[in-house]
Amino acid sequence: MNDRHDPIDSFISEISASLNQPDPQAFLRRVNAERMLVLLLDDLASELQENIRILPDKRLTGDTGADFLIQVDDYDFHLELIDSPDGSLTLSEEQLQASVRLLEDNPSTLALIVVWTTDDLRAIPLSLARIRYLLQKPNRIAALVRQAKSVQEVMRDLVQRQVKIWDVSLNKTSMTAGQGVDILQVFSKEVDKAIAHEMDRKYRNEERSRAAKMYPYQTEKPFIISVLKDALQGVEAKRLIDRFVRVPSRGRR
Amino acid sequence: MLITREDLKAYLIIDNCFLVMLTDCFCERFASRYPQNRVIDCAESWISEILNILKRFAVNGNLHCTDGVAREYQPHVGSMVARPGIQHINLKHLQRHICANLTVSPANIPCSQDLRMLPAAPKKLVGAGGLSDNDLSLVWLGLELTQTGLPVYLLTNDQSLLDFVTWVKTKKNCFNAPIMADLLQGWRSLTYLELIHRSCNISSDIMKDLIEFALVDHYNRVDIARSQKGNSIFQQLMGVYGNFNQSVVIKQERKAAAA
Repeated sequence: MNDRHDPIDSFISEISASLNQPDPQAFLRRVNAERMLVLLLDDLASELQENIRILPDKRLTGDTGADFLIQVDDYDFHLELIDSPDGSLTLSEEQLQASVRLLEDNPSTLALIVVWTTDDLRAIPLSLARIRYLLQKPNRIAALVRQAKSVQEVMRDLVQRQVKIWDVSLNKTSMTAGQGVDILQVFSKEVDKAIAHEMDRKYRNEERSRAAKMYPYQTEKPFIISVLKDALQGVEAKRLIDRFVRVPSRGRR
Repeated sequence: MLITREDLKAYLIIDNCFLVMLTDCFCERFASRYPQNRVIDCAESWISEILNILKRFAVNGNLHCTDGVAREYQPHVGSMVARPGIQHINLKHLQRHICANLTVSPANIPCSQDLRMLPAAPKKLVGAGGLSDNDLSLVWLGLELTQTGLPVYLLTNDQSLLDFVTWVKTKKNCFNAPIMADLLQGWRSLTYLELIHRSCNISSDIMKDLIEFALVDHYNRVDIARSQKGNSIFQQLMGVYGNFNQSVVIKQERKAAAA
């Protein structure tokens, strides 16, 4: 469910498009792109089991905003629609320049996603660093635009990149009959590595950086290890889950 | 954007919810101005007036619908029932009068159901709790009309139907010639009427009444107790009136230019 299903919001959005777009065909491309966007993001939200909200950004923040604000968990994206009358994808330096302030003013925004009004809604994500690079080297814009993918793929990549995957690659050591693997020890080492990696992580957002510093990694480790010990001793999965769910989920509001 | 009569011309398909909106709008905003014994006559002429305006924008002068959807227009179970002095028989008369304005075709249910099977059709729209066979019969009727090579507009307030039509447009390869799915376009009824208003074919007073009715009706339905809802409503009102004022200015400029 997202707020763009509000019929009055959609009506306002359509009338705004009719006032702002240069011709009737551009207006219809815009209206159709907005409807498809909501459909695709709804599908993506179900697929990723994430709560994705799409809000009319310009109406919330004025002309400095993008077309849409997309909120996912504790981060967000801005999304700007660009008309593509003949299906070709173009991006000007002026459009990039206008995006710099948007991203500077919104530090919690991970990226600005530029979406063209093609049938499959081709899109590219732009970070502040990437926009600055492109403004210094405008001859690279065309190459970037050639890498455009469907907005669903772009969003899926971005959202999945935010999900912390504990990629525990256990060493496949050869076992002899007399040598068992000490799972607890292997796991403990991997937890140490993961904690070190987390503590080493750099955040652009000051609030996130502060939150990361305050997170009690070292007290969480004994808890995780104790749950593992219980699991190895054959404690029922339900009881283990009960222990975990007492810990507040990250980002849950 | 300057919009001309030609831009709005197409084969027109009307959904039941559009007729219900006109009926409820009359009931809420005009019915009390008339004596009880004239309410139905006045409702018929007010709704017919708007439908006649629409007919001027239909390439063949017809407002198309399928029989299944036309049957769903039932003023005798709507808000008019609550008006004092209105009898069931009067509302049946209203139903017949309004439906007489439509060019009704039999709903092709098998073909409509096939639309659910299109590859990657959004489950939310075609699955359980989504669009009904009658809803889809309008989409199929629209696709059939695209065989003429002219644009076909489906007017509805049903967001799911609008979304499905928009999705079908992008699946032109799923249909054999001469069907041209990209010629089918879903329009929110109020948006289409607003553009007709801007082209000087509906009075600003009627348009203002329709928009105000839609706003009030919407707020009566939504859960106002949700957080920030008051603020959101205020923003929506500002948005609607900002847009409407611009639209009236465009209309006045066009009138002045024509004079």
